[in-house]
Amino acid sequence: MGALAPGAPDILRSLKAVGLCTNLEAPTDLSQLTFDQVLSAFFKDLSRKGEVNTEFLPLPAIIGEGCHVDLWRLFCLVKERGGYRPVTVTWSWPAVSELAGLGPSFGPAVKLIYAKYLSSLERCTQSFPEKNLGLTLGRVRSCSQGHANDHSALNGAHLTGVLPVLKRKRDATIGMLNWLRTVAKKPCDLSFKIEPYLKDAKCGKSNPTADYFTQAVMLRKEMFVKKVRKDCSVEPPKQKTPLSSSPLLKNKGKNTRTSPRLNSTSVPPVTSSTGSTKQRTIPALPSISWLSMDEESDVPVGPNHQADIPEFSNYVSTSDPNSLKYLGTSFWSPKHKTAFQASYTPIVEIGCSKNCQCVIPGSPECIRFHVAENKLKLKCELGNSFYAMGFQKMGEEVALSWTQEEEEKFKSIISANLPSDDKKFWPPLFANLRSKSWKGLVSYYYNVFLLRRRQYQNRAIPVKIDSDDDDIESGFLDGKLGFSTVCAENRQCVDLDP
Amino acid sequence: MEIDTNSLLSQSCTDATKRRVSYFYEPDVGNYYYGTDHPMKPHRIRMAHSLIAKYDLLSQMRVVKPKPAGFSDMCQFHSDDYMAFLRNVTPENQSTRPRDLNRFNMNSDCPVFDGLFEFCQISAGASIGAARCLNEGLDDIAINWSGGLHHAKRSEASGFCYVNDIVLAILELLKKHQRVLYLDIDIHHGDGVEEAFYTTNRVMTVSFHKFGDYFPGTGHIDDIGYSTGKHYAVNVPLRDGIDDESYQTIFKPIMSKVMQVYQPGAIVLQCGADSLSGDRLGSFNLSVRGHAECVRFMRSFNVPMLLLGGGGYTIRNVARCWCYETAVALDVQVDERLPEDVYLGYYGPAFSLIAPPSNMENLNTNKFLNGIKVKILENLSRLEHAPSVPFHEVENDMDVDEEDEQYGEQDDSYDRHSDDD
Repeated sequence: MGALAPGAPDILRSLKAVGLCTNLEAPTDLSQLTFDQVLSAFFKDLSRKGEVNTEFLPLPAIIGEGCHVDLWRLFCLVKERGGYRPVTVTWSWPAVSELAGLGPSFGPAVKLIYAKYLSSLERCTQSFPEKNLGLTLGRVRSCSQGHANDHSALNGAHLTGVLPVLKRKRDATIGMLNWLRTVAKKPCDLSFKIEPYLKDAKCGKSNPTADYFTQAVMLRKEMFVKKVRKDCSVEPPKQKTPLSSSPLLKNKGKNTRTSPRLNSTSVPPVTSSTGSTKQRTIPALPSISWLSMDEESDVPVGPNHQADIPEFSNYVSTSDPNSLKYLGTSFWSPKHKTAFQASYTPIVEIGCSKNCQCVIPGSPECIRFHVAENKLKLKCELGNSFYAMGFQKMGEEVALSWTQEEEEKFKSIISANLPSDDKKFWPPLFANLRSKSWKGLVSYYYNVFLLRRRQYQNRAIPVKIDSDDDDIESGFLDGKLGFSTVCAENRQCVDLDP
Repeated sequence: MEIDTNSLLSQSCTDATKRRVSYFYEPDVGNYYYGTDHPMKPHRIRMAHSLIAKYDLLSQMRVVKPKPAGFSDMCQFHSDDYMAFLRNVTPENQSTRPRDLNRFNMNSDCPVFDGLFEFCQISAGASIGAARCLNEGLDDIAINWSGGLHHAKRSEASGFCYVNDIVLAILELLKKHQRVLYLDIDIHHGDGVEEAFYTTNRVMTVSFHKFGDYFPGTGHIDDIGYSTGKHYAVNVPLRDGIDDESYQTIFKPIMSKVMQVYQPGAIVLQCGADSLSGDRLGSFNLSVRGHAECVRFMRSFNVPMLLLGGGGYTIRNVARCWCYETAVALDVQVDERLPEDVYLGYYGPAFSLIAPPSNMENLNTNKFLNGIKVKILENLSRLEHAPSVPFHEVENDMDVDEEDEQYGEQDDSYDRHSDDD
């Protein structure tokens, strides 16, 4: 399953360190571990944590006319170039695609494959200690076939801002916290000036204060800045509405608070207040997971995600006939109510309880009679709208358009393909009742078959009823479809679901 | 029903509690079928329709057959290629398009079924039509129980949803209203709608949902919007077992504050019924009355409102809920005993309109709910007020008891059309 990947054991080890891929045991011979195996376990974890999309990604990944995509090679190539975003911004996907052995024309498709299969992994592995990355990179360089591209940003400035925080050991972080505490106690202390220390650092002079400051800034960014996953474009889509003139935003221009802030630093995060809440499990950065209090948000932003907001102006009612059609066709309006209907009280009482003259009140025949009675009353009230609204196609009357033979066939097909036997009855229904459209079959199923099944349950089964699963009781199928018993409905079982 | 203190005189009626209601229904909608064992069953809409008729509620509304949404209508939000795919894919030809199925996230949750595109057109067409009727001033409240499919994204299906009729309806309302409020009481986070409007302040999205190891995984309390839309997304994460009383202790203060600071010109309320007790996929413990109380409360602000369906997988309870909420919209009392409806058998053995809650444990402690409420109210207090409301200093808001901040107290300053300038 997938090509062998030299760096797969390292990736797996690092994922396990953050609590992922726990269900995948590394083989004794690590060289046999494939990248696809690691990915598969990673996807399972993500789907468990709520990222449902990854669950159904097929492996191996296929592109074009059935070409396999070497995901490990693709992952390394993109990592060399700084990750998904730098490659997209510089539109290096055709080059990446060619290096991956697929040809430059598959650039957009390769980008999509990467986004679906590898972007989550990239986000997780961005935080891994340099040791692992170096090991991976070394092997990637040797596999790059002498590629002379200088987009090896991964070992350049791109990492410089990230690694210093992550490389630090725990005691160094505590040193930084102590320094931060000192500064916080005396924020107006003019003796604290960071610029000289940074200047020393640039000159290569060792300066712990500059280190602490850099670490603190990076840590703040990791902990409190909300990461909003962006699409290709950097800026969110411009709105068509001239919002600068809207009364809602009169003071917007004066708002200089443009940097993302944590809005509730004074209020403890809800999830930590009880300790037993299931947290939204997103892979945390290993070195600061013990400090992480808030979880990250991942709302995609970009032209492929947000709606284009229409322009707001003085609304003019439409008189265009085409536009008017979109208002729909009125079946009925209150003015249609006749004098008779106006006197009809809205509170409906069940006929059986008071005025029922049936021989056996509550029997199936009694119920049927009163249902038909109500239906006739409705027909009188609504007139032709009764048919327009489809009431004649509701309930057991639907069976009137079926022959006895067709009904028996329907029942026998379901009997032979019960869901409890892990079978599906719809394909044979479609295949064997070709005289009926699929809408006709669905209509019969809900209006007749399932309705009679529920009536059977109400009468014959003194157990918890669940009408919303597709399992069919054998007693119902063995009897005639319809009412073979005359007993009253099971109203005395008050502990059953209504 | 009790008269809510928030009731204002409608400009269309002298009766403070009556509203003009339209109800969009396509007779064929119940005949679409997602597949064996799939929990989403459009037949529930037909069941609700039948109950609504038997309670004589239809005769008190304008009942409208929707025009199916056209391709270009749906492309107001969705991408062309995604819509083209939905239009062309069938159960027979889907096996020849595995990459497209993957690309557009069509899987066991979102299967290809017969009439899929038609079903989307009906749902979206009804929501768009309902929004247009509100814009035209034909109604005060418009109802579409086949809508509310809040998970669909611009270029992919998700969570049983293919076309996001809510986004399309809101885009329609934005042609007339400067600000639109979207409120989602489905147990699942309204991620599709939130994402669509995450960067704008013209739509405020508010979602009450279960959060934590639950689909879709989004809806964290700190997701408050981005860029111009910062502070215009509100997420209320809840735990299993929340009951009517607990829900209202957090719903009413938050929504009162939202209405106060945002003053929307229109409200879109997604009434997903999977937040009811006993839902096949849900784990809340709301009764039909508790769920409908949200509708009643929002109705009392007398702002044009669009009521939509959504989740709901114990279909007998879905039909009960949406029938009862139709009655709430009309302000009509209905008897708990069910009438002799053609689908009466589905409601046995109790045959009652109100499905009572269970005795499941409520994991939402008072402390937990209070913490959420405080945090969200604090976030809302950072919003700029609409100009018709006297400006409050942000700090002063923190000192005011939320119970006193009922929207009704600002009747004098509220102008229904203030958002139109």
